[in-house]
Amino acid sequence: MIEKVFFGGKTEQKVIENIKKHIKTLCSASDCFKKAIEEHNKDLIFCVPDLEREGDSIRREIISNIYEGAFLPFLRPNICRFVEIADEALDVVEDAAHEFEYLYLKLDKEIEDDCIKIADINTKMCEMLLVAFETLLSKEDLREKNLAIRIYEKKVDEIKFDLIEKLRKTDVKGFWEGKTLSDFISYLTRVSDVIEDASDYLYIINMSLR
Amino acid sequence: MTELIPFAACILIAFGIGSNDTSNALGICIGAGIIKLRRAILLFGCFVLIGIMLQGQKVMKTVGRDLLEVNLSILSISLSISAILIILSNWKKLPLSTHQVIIGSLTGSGVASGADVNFLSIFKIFLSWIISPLTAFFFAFMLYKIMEKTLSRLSFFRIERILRNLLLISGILIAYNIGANELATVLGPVIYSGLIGKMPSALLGSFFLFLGAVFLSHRVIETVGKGITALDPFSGFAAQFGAGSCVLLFTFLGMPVSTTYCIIGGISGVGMLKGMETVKTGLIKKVIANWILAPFIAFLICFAIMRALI
Amino acid sequence: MFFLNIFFQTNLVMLKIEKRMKITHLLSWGEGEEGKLMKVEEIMTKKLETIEADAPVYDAIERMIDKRIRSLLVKPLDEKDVYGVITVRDIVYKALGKNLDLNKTKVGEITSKPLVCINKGMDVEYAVSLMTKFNITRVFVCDGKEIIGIVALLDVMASSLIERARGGHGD
Repeated sequence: MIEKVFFGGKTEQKVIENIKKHIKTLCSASDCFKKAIEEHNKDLIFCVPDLEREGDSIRREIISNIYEGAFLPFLRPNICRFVEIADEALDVVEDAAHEFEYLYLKLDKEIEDDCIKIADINTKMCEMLLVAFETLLSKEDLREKNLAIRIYEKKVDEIKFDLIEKLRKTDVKGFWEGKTLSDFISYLTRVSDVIEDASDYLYIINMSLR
Repeated sequence: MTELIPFAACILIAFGIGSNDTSNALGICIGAGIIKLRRAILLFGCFVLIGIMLQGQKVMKTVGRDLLEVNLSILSISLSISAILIILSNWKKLPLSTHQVIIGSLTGSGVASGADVNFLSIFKIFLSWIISPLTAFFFAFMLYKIMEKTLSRLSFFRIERILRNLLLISGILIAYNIGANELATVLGPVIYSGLIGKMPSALLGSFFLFLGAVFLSHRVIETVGKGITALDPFSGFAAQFGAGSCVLLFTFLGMPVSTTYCIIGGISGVGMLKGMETVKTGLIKKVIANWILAPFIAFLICFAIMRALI
Repeated sequence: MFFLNIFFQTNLVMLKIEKRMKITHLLSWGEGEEGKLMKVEEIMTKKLETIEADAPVYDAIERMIDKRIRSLLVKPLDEKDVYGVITVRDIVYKALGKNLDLNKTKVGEITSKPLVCINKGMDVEYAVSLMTKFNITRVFVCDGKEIIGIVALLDVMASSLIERARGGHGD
């Protein structure tokens, strides 16, 4: 009985480490994707689905650990939801990478620049999400990290607005090329929204136990 | 032969307490997932035994001796009626206080048979019944405020870890109280009537209480436990521990009080701080109605029967 | 080389001093830890909205409202002229406040020039110190003779917050 009280600490630790690992996987995927666009490197694009699969398996492990008995039941659904939102971000990055493959890795210079900027901010947001999660373990203020992520998201929105204007003036050779381009930009800009959701959810989790 | 009646009644009541009141103690712990049901019940049983061994005698004395001089007939009638009422209310899922029923019955049959009933004792007990939920309210209120100033400051996961341990301690406290206060109320009269010694009765009582918990408590834990676990663990702990310490205090004073009502007091205390209606006024009215009716009905029934028999 | 306009509105001065104190505080927070100062080109806005010097003030107002921005780069009238800047403050105090005709008054009449421009490699700190010294809320960023961006107080605040959120972490 006593050991259940102390032993419990181990499962929680494992879950926390795994969540950090999961977010780091998200960061890597986003970074890899950005480099692929910058360097026009098709091989780099293949790392994204691999990372996404790894993220999925980490997520499954986290959730099964949680329901095996980590944390107060009151918190479990919230923590699971957070991991699921982070995983959704990973899925969106993979979707974007997938569409990018079809674009045969060529984009107009201006559009490409904007896309690289957005991909860069996405990566920074992922890193900030990790920092934000770690504040749950330390005494730092979560609100600042949350605000930083929102600032990043607003920057992406600004670029997105311009980008869509430019897109509308672009010529496309056919329906599928247009659709692929549109979907690509759509996924690319969605990543920041999902990460912002995840960050907001972290804030909810933080407040739930006070 | 007739000596067995009080025994049977006691056993039934102990069983009833086990099946119904376990949820008070463990609802939160199990809801909190700190401990699995089986182990929880085992832990619960242990601490009930410890409770009645360590501190049962104060309440036992109040109910068994200070209140009135018990004899066999008083004992049989009051305990039997109590057992019936308690089992009926358990079955109908009404929140009935074991203490009130027993004391009402004892008083009823006592007065009817002309025994020497100590009205000062009754007055003190009555007063305790009124003050205890209010005290629990106050304790829970203060505890929550203290927790806000201290516990809230830590990082999230640290709070989670600490809270888990605290909830376990709180559950144990309630279990202890059930032994020291509730079970003592039941066993007090039996012991002081000389029918059975303290040790054997404590063991027997705890054992049957444990059986009640093992066999029947699970269905109540899901429903009643939700009353407290509807609050988040932070508030839930303040409410339960506030109630528990309040009951402990009254146990020290030898007064039999109801844990259920104290927990309601505790929840209201925390609810007031959060500004929300955790306990609905409808429920409070029901509780007050029960609180007034229960002892009186027990009193009247026993009075009537006693009179009829004499 | 940098010739600047100085505003004498006292309320404005107080507001600006408060805003700037907040920002220099944020800046100095991150600086000591990392020892790396941000360059203005990292935080500047590259999108520059321009307007002709002979356009009516009304157009400037319209443009600012539609684009949700507070300043416009004013193109030089001719060879001899220089770039200028027109801000919401110019419009409110000099045009609306003095009840000038918005359609007849030209942007060139109420614009501030020449504008403050700093090299893209300069530190954000330097930009803030200039803003403090000359009581302005934005500086332009130049690469040689070409204006490539603008750094406003909001940009400084946002980037300082991000540095702060990141900086405390020591990665």
